[in-house]
Amino acid sequence: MKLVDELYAYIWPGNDNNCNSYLFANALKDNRHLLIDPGHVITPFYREPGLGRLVSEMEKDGLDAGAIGLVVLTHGHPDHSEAAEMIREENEALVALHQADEPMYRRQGGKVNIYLEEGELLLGQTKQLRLSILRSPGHSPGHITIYWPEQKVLIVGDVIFYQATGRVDLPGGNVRALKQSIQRLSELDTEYLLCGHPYGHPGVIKGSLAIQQNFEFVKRNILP
Amino acid sequence: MEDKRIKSALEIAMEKAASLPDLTEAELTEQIEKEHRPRGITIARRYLDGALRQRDLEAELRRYTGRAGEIVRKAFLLTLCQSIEVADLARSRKAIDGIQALVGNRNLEAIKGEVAAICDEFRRQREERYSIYENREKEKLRKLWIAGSAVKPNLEESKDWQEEQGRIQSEYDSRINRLREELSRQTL
Repeated sequence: MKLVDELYAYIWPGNDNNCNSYLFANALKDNRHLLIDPGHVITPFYREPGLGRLVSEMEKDGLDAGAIGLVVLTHGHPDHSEAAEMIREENEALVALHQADEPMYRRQGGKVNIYLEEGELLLGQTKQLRLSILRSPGHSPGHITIYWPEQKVLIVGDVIFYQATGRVDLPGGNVRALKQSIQRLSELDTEYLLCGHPYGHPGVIKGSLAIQQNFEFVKRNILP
Repeated sequence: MEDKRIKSALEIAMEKAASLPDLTEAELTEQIEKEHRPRGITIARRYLDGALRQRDLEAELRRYTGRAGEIVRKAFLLTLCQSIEVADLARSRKAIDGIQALVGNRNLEAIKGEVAAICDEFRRQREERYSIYENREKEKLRKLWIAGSAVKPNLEESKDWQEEQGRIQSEYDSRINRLREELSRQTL
């Protein structure tokens, strides 16, 4: 589903736990794409085809999944990252994530080409896509979020969902850090909040008012 | 009259052992070596890992006397010599300090200085080369239209860097090896 400009959202419709994926089409040389969080290849419990579904949804949008050239992982948990290694191998794509999440990703057999640190990620040549990479730990130590100031889009992975937050009881989780990350993200001027899971809601929250209300709800009721 | 009593397993084993020929001198040495070399290695590792203080080394090694003591001491010294490596100056220094503590006032300062200089040069050389290779990788990424302050290439996945790193390591390893041999010669 095309969201804004060349940004597409792929909301996970299955029964098992798997992430939403987001894609910046034609952002790289030779019209290759940037994919954020490809999710599972096959989901672990119901054996649903996570990657297969993503590929077919991309095809419906007229996008070639073989042209994914860069996979950015918001964090290293397998429900976000498992398919990255397969895409890397099959497409000769590059995989990027924060170094602090590399050990958990490596344990799944994944290889990392680029470490993403707090700063700017510039894609494209003439019409450059300028993304801000923000350190947002709490759900995992190396969690990052991606902010696109031009269109006020914030891709938050598992930091915040619709009226919920990411878990902090997994290895490396930290509730104080998550609270700080949420506070920081709530201060950004955002029109599209793109969450990592469709928990009780597709996970795409539109409009600055609705987004602020969601932040306030979480701050007041989930992490007071 | 023949003893009809059923023999215990121990008695049978003792009889068999008694019928075996005595160990030769070489076999005896090998057996003592086999038994005591690991003890010297363990003491050296405990010392290097901080579980044993330098001032306690002498007492720890004195627990073994005679031929066993010689073997433990030799294994200890050899392990320390082998622990000197270009990538870890602190551990290398500690290894030489341990050797010095044991062999007394023999002048090992020159070797210690040389090891420090090699380790330092290795570190600087590696950093310099790392920076060059990192810029090369960044340039490759720029050609794919990927750039920005957030981007830090992971050189461990770069074949070029792995080869370069291997080349630097082996160059400095050979220099350190020479010092290890010198140290072994002076102390063993």
